[in-house]
Amino acid sequence: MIFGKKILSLPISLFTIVLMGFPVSATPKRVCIPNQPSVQESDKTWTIDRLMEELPQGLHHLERFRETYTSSMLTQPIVKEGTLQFTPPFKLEKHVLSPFEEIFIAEGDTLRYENPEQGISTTFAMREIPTLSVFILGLRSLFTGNVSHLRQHFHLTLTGTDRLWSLHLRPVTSSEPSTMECIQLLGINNRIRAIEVQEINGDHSSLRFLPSEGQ
Amino acid sequence: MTIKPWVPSLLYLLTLGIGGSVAFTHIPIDSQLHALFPSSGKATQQILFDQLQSGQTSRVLLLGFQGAARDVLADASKQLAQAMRDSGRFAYVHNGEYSSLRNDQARLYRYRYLLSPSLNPSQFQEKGLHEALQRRVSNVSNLLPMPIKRKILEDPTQAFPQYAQLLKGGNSLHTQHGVWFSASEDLALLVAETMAPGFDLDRQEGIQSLITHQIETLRATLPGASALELLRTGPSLFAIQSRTLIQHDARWLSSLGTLGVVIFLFLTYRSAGLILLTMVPLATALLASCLAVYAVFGYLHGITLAFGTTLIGVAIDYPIHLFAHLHPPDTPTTTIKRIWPTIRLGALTTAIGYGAMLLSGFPGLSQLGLFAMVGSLTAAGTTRWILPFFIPPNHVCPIPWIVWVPHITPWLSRLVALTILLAVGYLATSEKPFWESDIANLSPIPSNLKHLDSEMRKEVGAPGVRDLLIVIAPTAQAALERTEDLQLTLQRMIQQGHLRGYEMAANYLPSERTQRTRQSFLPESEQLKEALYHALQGLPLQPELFHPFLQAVEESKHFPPFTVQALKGTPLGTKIDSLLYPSHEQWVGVVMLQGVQNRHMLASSLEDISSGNVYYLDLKDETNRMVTQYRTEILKYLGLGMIGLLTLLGLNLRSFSSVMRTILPVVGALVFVLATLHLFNEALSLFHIASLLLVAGIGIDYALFLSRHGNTPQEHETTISSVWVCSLTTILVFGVMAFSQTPVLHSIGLTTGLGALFCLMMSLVYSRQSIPPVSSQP
Repeated sequence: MIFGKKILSLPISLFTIVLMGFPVSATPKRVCIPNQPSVQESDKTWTIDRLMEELPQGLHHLERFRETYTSSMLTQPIVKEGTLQFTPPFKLEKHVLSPFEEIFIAEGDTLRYENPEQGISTTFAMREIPTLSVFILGLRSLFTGNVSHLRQHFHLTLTGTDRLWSLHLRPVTSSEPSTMECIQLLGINNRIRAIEVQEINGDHSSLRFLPSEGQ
Repeated sequence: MTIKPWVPSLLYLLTLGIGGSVAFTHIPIDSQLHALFPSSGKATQQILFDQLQSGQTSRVLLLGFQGAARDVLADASKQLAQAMRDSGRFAYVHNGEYSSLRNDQARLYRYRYLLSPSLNPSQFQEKGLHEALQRRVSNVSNLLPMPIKRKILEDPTQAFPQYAQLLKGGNSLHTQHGVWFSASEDLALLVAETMAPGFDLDRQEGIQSLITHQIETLRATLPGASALELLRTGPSLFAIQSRTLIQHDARWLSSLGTLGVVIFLFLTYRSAGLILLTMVPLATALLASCLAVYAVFGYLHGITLAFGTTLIGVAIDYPIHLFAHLHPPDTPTTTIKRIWPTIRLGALTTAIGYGAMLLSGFPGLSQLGLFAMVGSLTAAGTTRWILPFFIPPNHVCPIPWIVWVPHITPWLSRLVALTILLAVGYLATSEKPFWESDIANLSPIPSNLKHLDSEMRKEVGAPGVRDLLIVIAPTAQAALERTEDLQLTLQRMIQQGHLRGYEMAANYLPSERTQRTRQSFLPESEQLKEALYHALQGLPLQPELFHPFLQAVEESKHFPPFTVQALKGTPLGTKIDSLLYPSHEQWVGVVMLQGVQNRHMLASSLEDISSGNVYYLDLKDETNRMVTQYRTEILKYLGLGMIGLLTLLGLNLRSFSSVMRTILPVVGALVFVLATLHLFNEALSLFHIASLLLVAGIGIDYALFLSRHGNTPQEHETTISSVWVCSLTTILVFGVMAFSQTPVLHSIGLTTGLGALFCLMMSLVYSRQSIPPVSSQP
């Protein structure tokens, strides 16, 4: 994609990395409150509907990522690398390759978790994994450009411009107690470049897509 | 006013019917295998019967969903599984859902350090712990829910997952949309085990209709599932299908046969009354036989009823002979007096021939002997003393419409004799197997269903179990220990590729001995704390998360051993009960072997290690061996019966040549039947033997009547036509059955039909020679 290539030139890439505060410190910032846009510029014509129209076009089916996971269970954050793959309409596969292998495959209303080294292969129903199911729901809606579905389940805040934007998703409080506080996506043009997930219990995942080979 | 003949006969039959139905509701009908065999006193025999009829393998049901999109199939699988679990009729229902094993889990989880197969002391030392904790890091650094992650850290050595893997049967099926799918991904799979024994067919049928009902509901309510199809297989299902197929065929073929006979008899007699009367001796005989067996044995075996009814089928011939010989001015009473010696001799020979089985030590055979003996005597007695009073005087039977007899020349009878010799030669020299050695071949289940069964078993890793190891011990604990002692050998066999897997109660419930050993592996609290402290060095895990672990290990050291009582009524408890159960004041431990490569090697290597404590059972082999044993026993007592029969004939006919003339047509007919069956590749089973017995009875009857000294040529013609009627009746009833798709009915029908035909031919060929009169004092 010529346009994408031009945009993802080195300075911008570096800028994004700085923007996302990498490497993440041991005490992460909470991305949800207050709902402060991290991108200062704003553009009245840049709307959620436009973003949702453009996002599917920029979708790469296989993205490499680096994720930093911070948890009250851990004395220091864990940095993981791997690939995220989306197969329309609904299959989402996260394959962690280092420091250990882990596979998450979301399909239909179940999630299969595999840990080959430990010989684990477990299938969860979505209702058993509230945080992940909200996360998967959000990504599916974004990747398929389903704006009404997204609005139905999240309060949305879009800031920035079409070149550099931030979309903030806060789950609509339903009768079920939520474990997910918010998701924040950072993007450049029609590409999502980073995803932050904040859990109510304080655990936090910061996932950043790496430039694909040859870019 | 003369009473129509049908009035008393109808009344009599009604009385019999009422008596019969009372008898049937009160006589217990047993279909247990062990009731057929003499008790050898060996515990293994009882175990064999238990395993064949109600063993765990007989309870397994395999279900496959197809005919809809995969997500719909998955939903259908989940909903049906839920309904099946809710019904309480299943020990377990597995379809790959995460929740499959949850019911018993809390209790088992608490006892994980006593139950886990992998437990060893090094797991609680610094090095072992460090390695385990390293792996746990990956389990907690993701967005899975906190409670799941806490649970993982509560059991950092993963004692429970190792145990849970055993519960799941260790198979790793392909999962899609949360449920198991076949490798080809077009069949959602479900495995269940019923609480009811596999051959409790009525309960099994209830279970099947429950499933059918659920599937219909799913078709109607689940979007996209209108064309949903359910494939089912399993031993109990085969048993139900066999029963249904046999019943279906038996019902419509025997209705057809009966209709044929009724039409034929009506054309012959032109009287409904006589048709009813024809049934009187048979019905009386059936009732008397059942009552006699009940009086002596206290129950009636299903097999006795089925085979016995076939054997006494000859009873229908007695009234036919009587009706044929009615000639005015003789009254029915004088007519019966005239032919009674022949009927009596026929009935006595039948009674002695079959009655010899009464002496057998096999309860099933002695029941059959008694049944046939009482039946043939009662039928003859009814014809002699009851039937004549139902027939109005001066009744003439207009039957002599068939008097055709082949023009007998010495040339023809020699040709027939030569043919018999040829048939004997053919039978003697043929290399085809004479006996059916595998009773599985008698199953009426179509081969495509058998194929489906083996395919689905392969998919779900639930092979049909054929090989068992049996351990007998004075207590449950001792039985558990003895099966545990086999584990090492079995593991080695698996590694060497001689065995694919095994299942035993000790997998799920280790013996108290083993549980105490595992407790002794658990370190003291302080010791473990220190090991944990060092193990955590260099790992990013919060130390306080491991308090529950320390607590659980400490607690486990003081648990009393986990017993099967704690699992009573749970699915796992049911499973254990089928693998470890009391029998004759002892305890039986069952080890089910899968994928045995070499049965001889297995048997001999077990002999080496077991010092006689372990018995190896090959269910298929044992079953066939039992059938062969049964057949040998039948043949032995039939031989004895034949001697009795010949003695009786000799005493009555007082001439060697007369005896031969009575016997040879029968032997000839039997040889022809055997040769014909053999020619058409019919290997002989017990059902053929029962039918051949009937043929022999019929044949002797024909021969006796036809070689009776005829007073007049007219009398001889009457006899010929009555034999024609008898034989056509038999051919009609049994001949139709030969067209049945079910092997059992087919063999009975074909053998008896052919037999009746050959008996008729042989008797006609050899009847003209005059023989001395039967001693004719009634």
